Amino acid sequence: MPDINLVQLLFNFLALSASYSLFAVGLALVFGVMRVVNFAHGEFFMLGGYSIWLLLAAFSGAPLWAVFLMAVVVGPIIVGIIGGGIERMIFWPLADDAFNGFIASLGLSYVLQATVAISFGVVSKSLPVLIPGQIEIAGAILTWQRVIVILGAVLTMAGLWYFLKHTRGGRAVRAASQNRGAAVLQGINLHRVSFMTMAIGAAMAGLSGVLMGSVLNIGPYMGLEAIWKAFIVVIVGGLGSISGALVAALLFGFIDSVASTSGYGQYIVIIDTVIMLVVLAFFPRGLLGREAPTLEQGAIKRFPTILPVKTIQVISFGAIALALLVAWPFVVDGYLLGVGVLFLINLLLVISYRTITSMGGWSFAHITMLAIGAYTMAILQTQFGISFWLILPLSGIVAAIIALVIAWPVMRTRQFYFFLSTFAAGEAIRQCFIQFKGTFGGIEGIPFLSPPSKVLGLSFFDPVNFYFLVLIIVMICSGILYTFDRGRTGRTIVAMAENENLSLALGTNVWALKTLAFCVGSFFAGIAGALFAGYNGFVAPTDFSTGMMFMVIAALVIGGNRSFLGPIFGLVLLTVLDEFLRDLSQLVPLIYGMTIILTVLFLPQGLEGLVRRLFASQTALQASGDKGVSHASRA
Amino acid sequence: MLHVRDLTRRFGSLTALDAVSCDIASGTIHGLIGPNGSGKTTFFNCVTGFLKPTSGSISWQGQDITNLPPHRIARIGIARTFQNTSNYGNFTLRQNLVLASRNRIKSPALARMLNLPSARREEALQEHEADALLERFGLNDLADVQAADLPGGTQKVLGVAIALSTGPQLLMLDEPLAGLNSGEKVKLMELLRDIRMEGQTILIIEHDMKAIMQTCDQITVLCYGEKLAEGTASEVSRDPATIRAYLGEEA
Repeated sequence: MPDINLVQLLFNFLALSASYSLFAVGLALVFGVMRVVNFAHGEFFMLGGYSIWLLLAAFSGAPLWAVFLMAVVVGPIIVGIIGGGIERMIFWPLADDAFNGFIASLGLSYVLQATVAISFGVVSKSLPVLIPGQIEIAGAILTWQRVIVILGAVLTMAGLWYFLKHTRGGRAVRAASQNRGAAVLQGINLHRVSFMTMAIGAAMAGLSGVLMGSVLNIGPYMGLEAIWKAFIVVIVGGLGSISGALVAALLFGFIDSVASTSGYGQYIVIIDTVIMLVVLAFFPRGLLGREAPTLEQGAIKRFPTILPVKTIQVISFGAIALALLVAWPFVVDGYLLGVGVLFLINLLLVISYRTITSMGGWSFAHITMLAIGAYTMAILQTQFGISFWLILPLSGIVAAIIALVIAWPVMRTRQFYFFLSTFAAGEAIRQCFIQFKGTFGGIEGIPFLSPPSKVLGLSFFDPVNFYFLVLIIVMICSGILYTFDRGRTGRTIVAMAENENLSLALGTNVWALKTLAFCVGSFFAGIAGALFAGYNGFVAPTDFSTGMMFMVIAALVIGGNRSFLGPIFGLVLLTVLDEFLRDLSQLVPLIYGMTIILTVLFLPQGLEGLVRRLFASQTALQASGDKGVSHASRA
Repeated sequence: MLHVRDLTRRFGSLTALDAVSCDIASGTIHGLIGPNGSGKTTFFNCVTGFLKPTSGSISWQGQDITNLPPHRIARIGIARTFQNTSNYGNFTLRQNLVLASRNRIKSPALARMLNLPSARREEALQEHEADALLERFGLNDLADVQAADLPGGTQKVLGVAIALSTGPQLLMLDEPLAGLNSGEKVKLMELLRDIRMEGQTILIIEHDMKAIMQTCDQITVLCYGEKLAEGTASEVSRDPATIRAYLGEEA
C-alpha cells in the first residue's frame, strides 16, 4: 500500500465534500418543499457545465478567469430560470402526486440530455485550465480550481443558511417543507414558494456545474454520475433534510477521499453502495431524517373503475397476438426477426417489471437483474459447461437471490427510497461486472456464448428456431406472471400498495409481500437475461445501460400499469417508434422523454386508461338505466 | 384478556400517554373516552404495534406483545379500524372483506400465488361469508360497489365490517360513529351490542357520549395522557375529575 499523505487526504476530502454538498443540498431542498425527487437535477448540473463551455466559445479572446467569473454569475441564473420554468410547466400541475412528478422529471432528464447531445454532440469536451496554479503543502497538491470549488460551496451554504434562517422567503420555504397544508393556511403562497425553491435548487446545481465543469470534462451524460452520488448522499442523510445532506456529503467526501488516496478509487461506487445499504438497514429514514411513524402514508388515489373484461375478449386478444407472433418469422427478413426476439425479451422484462411496481415501488435495478441473469448464463456456460436448460431457471434464481439481498434493508422504507436505493445498488452491481475482471471479464464482458443444444434435431443456431424457443419460454413465463397477478396473492399485493396501514392491521406481512413481488419480478428478469445472452452470444456491461432501464419504465408509464395489458401496449408503441426512428437514433431518447412527460401530464393512467375511459363512457350510455337505480338505492 | 401496564409514549418532549394501565375483560364492550388530544388514538397505535411504546408493557392472553410488529398482533386476534380510510378504495365491498379474511386462510401460499383450484375454492367460500357479513351490516346491496364510491358514513360502517372479517377476538374501533347520521349510529351500536352478545370483546373510542353511556360495560377516561377514571357508565359520569375534564373547572 502506498504511503498516505494526510494533508493530501485532507485536501481531497475538502474538495470532494464541497462538490457533493453543493449538488446534493439543492436536491434535498427541492425534495423538502415539493416532495418530489427531481431526477433532472443532474441535468441542471450538466447545463451549468455547458454554460461555461458556451461562454468560452462566445468570448474566445477574453482572459480565461474573466470568462470563468462571468460563468459563475450567468450560469446559475440561466439554469435557475430554466428550473423555475420547468416547475411552472411540469411540477406544479403535478403537485398533488409526487410520484408522477418524479416520473416526469425522469422524462425531463432524458429530454435535456438528448437536446444537449443533439445540439453539441455526444463527445465530452475538456476545458482549458481556467484558473492555473496550485498550492503545495508538505508534498500535497491542491489546485486553485479546487480551492474555488471549496470556497464556492462554503459561500453558497452560508448564503443558503442566511436565506432560510433570516429572511421572510426562507421562513416560507422552511414552513412549506415542514407542513404544506399548514403553510397554506398561514397564507403562504405555495405556488410562489415552489417556484422559488425550484429556481434556487436548480441554480445551485447550475453553480456546481460551473465550478465542477472547470475540473471535470463536460458531456451530455455528466449529470448521471452526479445524480448517482447525490442520491446516495440524500438517502444516507435522510430525504428532504438539508443538514442530513450536508453531514452525508462530508461522510462520503471522507470515505471517497480515503478510498481514492489509498488506491481503491475504482471501487468507490461499490463501497458507497454497501455503506448506503448498511445505513438504511439501521436507519430506514437516513441518518438525520425525521422520525416518521409507520402511520404516515400518502393520500389514497381513486382509480377509475376497472371494467370487467369478458373472458372471450381476453382469449381473442391473446389469440390474435399469438398468431401475429407465430407468423412473424415467416413474413419478415433477418433484421426484423432479431427485432422480434428482442421484443419478446423486452416483453418478459416489462411484464415482470409490472409485477414489481404493483407493490408500489418502482425498482431501478430491473435491467441489473437482466444483467445478472445474462452473466449467470455466461459464467455457468463458459466455466462449468452446464446445459442451457438447467441454466435458464438458475439465472432466475440467482437474480431473485440478489434481489432478496437488496430488499432486506430497502423494503422497510417507503416510496422514493426504494427507487433511489435500487438505482444505487443497480449501478454498483454494474460496476462489479466492470471492476472484477477475473470473473466477469471487465468492460469487454464474456464472449462466445451459445444457444441450447439441439432438441429433436432442431438447431438453435438457426434464428427462426431460436425465435420460437424464446417465444415459447416467454409465453410460459408470461402465463405464470398472469396467474400470479390474477391470483389472491397478486390482489393482496395491489391492495397493500393502496393502503399499507390497513394491510398491516389485517395481519399482512407487508415486508414479506413486497419482497416477494420484487423477487418474483427479478426472477423473470433473470430468465430474460439468460435468453438475452443466448441471443447476443456475449455479455458486456455496456449492454445493460440506464437507457434500457428507461425504456422499461417508459413502457409502463405510457401503457399504464394498472392492468396486465398496459405495459404490453406501451412496449408495442415504443418498439414501433424505435423502428421508425432507426435512422435518427439520437432522437429516440428525446421522443421517449417527451412522451413520458406528456403521458404523465395529460394521460395519468396511460394508454390503457384512455382505452378504458373510452369503453367506460360507452358502457355508461348503455347502462344508464341500471345506474339510476343503483344510485337511488345508495342514497 | 388484554392487560396494559404503565403504558407511556413520548413524542419529543410531549408525553402523549403517561403510565396508563388498563384491563379489558373478555366479552365486554369497553369505552375509551377523553377530550381531543388525550391520547386515545396513541393508545390504540401502541396496542396494535403501529407505535413503539416508550415504556410499559402490553400483554394479551398471557403473552407479552409489547414489541410485536402490527401484522403479528393482527394475526393473534386483535383487529382495529382507522379514523380515516379504513378500506381499500379501489376494491369492491366484497373484495374488501375477502382481503380482510387473511387470518382465516388455510390454502398453501403457493396455491394462492398460482391461483390454483384450492385457493379459488377457498376464496369462493370466503366470498359467501363476506356476503353474509355485508348483509348483517345492511350493505348487501352495495357488495359490488367500489369502496371509495361510498358516502363517508357508509365507509365507516364498512371499516367495522372489514375489521370484523378478520375474525378477531378483540375488535378495536377508532371513532366508528364519527360522520354517521343519528339513524345509522343507532343501527351500528345495536349491531355492536349484538355481536357482543355472541361473545365478541370490543374496545371503542368514541366522542358520542350517549352511545358510549348506553353501550359500554366499562369506560376508561383519558385526559392529557393520564387515566382520570375507570368504571361503569354511571360511575364515570359521577366522577368529579371526569366532569371537570369535560366541562371545565367552574362546573
